[in-house]
Amino acid sequence: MRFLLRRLGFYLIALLVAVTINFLIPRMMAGDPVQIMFARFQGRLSPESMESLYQTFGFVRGPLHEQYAAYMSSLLQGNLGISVAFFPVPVAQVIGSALAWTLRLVGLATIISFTGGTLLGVIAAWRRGGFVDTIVLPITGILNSFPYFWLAMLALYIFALHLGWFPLGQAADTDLIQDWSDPVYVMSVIQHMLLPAITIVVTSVGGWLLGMRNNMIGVLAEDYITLAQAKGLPDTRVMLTYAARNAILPSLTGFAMSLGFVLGGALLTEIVFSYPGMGFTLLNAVNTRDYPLMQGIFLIITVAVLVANLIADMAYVMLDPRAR
Amino acid sequence: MHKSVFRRTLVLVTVLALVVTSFGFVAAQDETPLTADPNLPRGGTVQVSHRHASAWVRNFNPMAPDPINEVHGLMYEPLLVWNEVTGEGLPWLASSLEYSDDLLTLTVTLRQGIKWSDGEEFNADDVLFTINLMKEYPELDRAALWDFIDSIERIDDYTLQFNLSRVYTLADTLIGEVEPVPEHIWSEIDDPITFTNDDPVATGPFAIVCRFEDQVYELCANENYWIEGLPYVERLQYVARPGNEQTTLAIVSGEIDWAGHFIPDIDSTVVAVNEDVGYYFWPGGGTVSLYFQTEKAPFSDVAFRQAVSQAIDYEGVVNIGMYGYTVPADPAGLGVRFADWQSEAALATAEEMGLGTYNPERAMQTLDEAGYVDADGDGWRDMPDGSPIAFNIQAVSGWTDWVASVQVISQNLQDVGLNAQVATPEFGDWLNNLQTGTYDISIGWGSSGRYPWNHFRDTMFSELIGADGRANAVTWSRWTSDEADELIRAFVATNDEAEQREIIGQLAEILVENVVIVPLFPGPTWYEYNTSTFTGFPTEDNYYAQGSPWDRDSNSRLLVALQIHPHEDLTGE
Repeated sequence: MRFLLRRLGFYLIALLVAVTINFLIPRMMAGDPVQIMFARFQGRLSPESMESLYQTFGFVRGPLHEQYAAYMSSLLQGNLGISVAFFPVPVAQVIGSALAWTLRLVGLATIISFTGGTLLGVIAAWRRGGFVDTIVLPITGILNSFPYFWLAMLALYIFALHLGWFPLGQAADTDLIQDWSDPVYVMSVIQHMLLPAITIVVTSVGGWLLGMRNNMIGVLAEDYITLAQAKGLPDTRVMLTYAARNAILPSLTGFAMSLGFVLGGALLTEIVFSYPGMGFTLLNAVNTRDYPLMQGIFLIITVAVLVANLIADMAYVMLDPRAR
Repeated sequence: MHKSVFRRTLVLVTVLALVVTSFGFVAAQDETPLTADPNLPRGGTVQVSHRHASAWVRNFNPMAPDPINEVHGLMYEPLLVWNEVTGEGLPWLASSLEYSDDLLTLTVTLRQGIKWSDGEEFNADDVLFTINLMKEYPELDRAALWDFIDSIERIDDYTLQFNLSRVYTLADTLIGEVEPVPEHIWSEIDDPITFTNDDPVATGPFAIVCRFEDQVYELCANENYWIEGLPYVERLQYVARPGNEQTTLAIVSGEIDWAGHFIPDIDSTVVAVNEDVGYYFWPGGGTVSLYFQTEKAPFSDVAFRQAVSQAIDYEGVVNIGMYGYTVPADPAGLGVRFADWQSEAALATAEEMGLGTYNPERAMQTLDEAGYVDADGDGWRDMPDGSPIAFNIQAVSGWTDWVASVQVISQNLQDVGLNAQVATPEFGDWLNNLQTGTYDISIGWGSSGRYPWNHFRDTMFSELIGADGRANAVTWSRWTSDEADELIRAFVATNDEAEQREIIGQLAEILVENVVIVPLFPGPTWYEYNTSTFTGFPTEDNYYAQGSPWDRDSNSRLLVALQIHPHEDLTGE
């Protein structure tokens, strides 16, 4: 319990620091959101409009300490503010739908990739020189080091454009009304999710596989594994509860981190497959110097990383009594 | 291919004669600006694409800085539709905007019989309410109307009289741009600034938001539309696509009927693959030019800027950088739209100075004479005092057409002995460099407005350089003069066209003889269309309005949306 409280205190301080950095980083970039808003019209907006734009966006100007105070107080009220690029739409609304799509696609793909990669890693280490170790491992390793954009475009051209196995893009068939109680719509969502999810899994599974395999090999050399085998325990029991349980610890931290970063979205996946999500929303926010939107997205990522780490900490404690 | 069908259609669609007087805009009374042909097929969903997005954000407030683009014109209509192509103002919700003889009052008469999409009648109260809202909330006064409006009198249900605080002859076009909102809805709203207007009530042909989802929105035809029988098509659909590859793919595969995207090498990547696709990149945008930081040597020297202008291979820039999508600019940067405002004197000066013509020998001679010679023998020219010259030409990272253009230019400058390199900062940095004067030479867009005046005002009016030193609009060269300032002010104080032409001629001459900017090419407007299902689009041969479905400052796409129709009847499909 004391351990948990100590960790909670640490996370609270980390959150405070992160929230302040989230506030500062966007403002350190050159350029001013109002000027960029004006410039986006590329000479088609008359300079007369500057005055009204400055009045509209008074809240992203003003002295830094005033902005910071306003930001902190609205955060405490759970208010993320109003977006600049999509003014007057609240940041929470801009993020809302993108977040849901990202959680579904990238979240699911990350979990599948981690689970699959870890299991394969266990098998690769257990049967050294076997099929997984000699064939699957190098292939996923190569895929892992491919540039993602190139691979995703290739997948799109081959499997969607030429073979027609998958839709060309979007999160669902645009002829269908968005209705989660309609099984046809849900099927369409799943169908549209497959190819992007596969490309994410295929390009990331190699990292988990290799990491787990190497951890496993280290653990397998331990005396207690030999002892367990000598006691005549079944292979699967030794493999999973004796070896894998210990070997997974370092991977778990990595998994917690990547779960947190899921919320940052998968920019390239979104662009290649025209998939809605946080990546493009963040890119847009950066390009338009939309301070409130950037802050909002950073905050969500920060909180997610911290929560995921907290959960990983607790899982650590459960898996490894020495950590208590 | 469908050209003959199209021609016939256009003969049938009567665009009524419009009288542009020097005292404002007047349309024939009681006649609509367009009339429908009852024999044309109707219905269908037009797939439109003009903006890269991964998800849509619902915002239909026409007074917001950058809402869903269709609120302008297609939903909330202006009093006056400006057709950039013909340079004419077409009285729309208003039937006339007329100045008094002393130019201090403007009388606006509205059309009768126009209804809001909820069936309520549109009248002078709505216009009065909208413009008064801009007084109450200066945040909404995007055109700074209350800088020159003193008061508004409501004469009757369809007539308003604007009393102006000073003579400002752009008042009629600026008031003509106002897109009225319905008083009976908006007067109930607490804060019009933060209002997202999810279900708009408007007068326009596509005022109905019949579907709005994360990745697709649809605008449906307004059954109460005031021009009987229009629009022909039933709905416009917008699908979100975040990347260039996806939009190009969708245009090639025929998924998109009407688009406004830059596509590199479109003849071989799109048209050769799908013969239903047509395009016309009308070079009617603002003139893309080179800007100099004229507060720094050597860019402060006219002779140096003159040499840069002489050294550039303009044809090469247009053909290599811009895929031949546009033409080289005129030396004053007036562009295709304002070609008839060209001043002979300015052209003669340009010719004498060798501006805008590729002539590396002459550029080298100009540099030699001004003392820019290679003093230290490193192969690059140096300053007259012997210090080295090395500079960057900046273009926006990822804007491939501009980057390629700047690469041609830097090569041209290297050929005459100038150490010019290409820099490609990110958009926000690029803009900030231009505005704060932390650059050497940069490519940038030119201003496009109603009159050639906007080009000169936005390029060299000293009032646009802020007290904080920030160069607003496109005053990025930071070159100003009292003489130019005076001419700029004089233009909007007269309504006499001969006098205005004289002023523009003098401004052109100032810009040319001081080489304030080096105009490169008039900006092309991106526009593609697919004639497999629909027809009636503007084509290169019959460019009756600006074709691009993305439009902010001209609402002429409204004329396109009203006139496109299917080849065969698609009603109810």
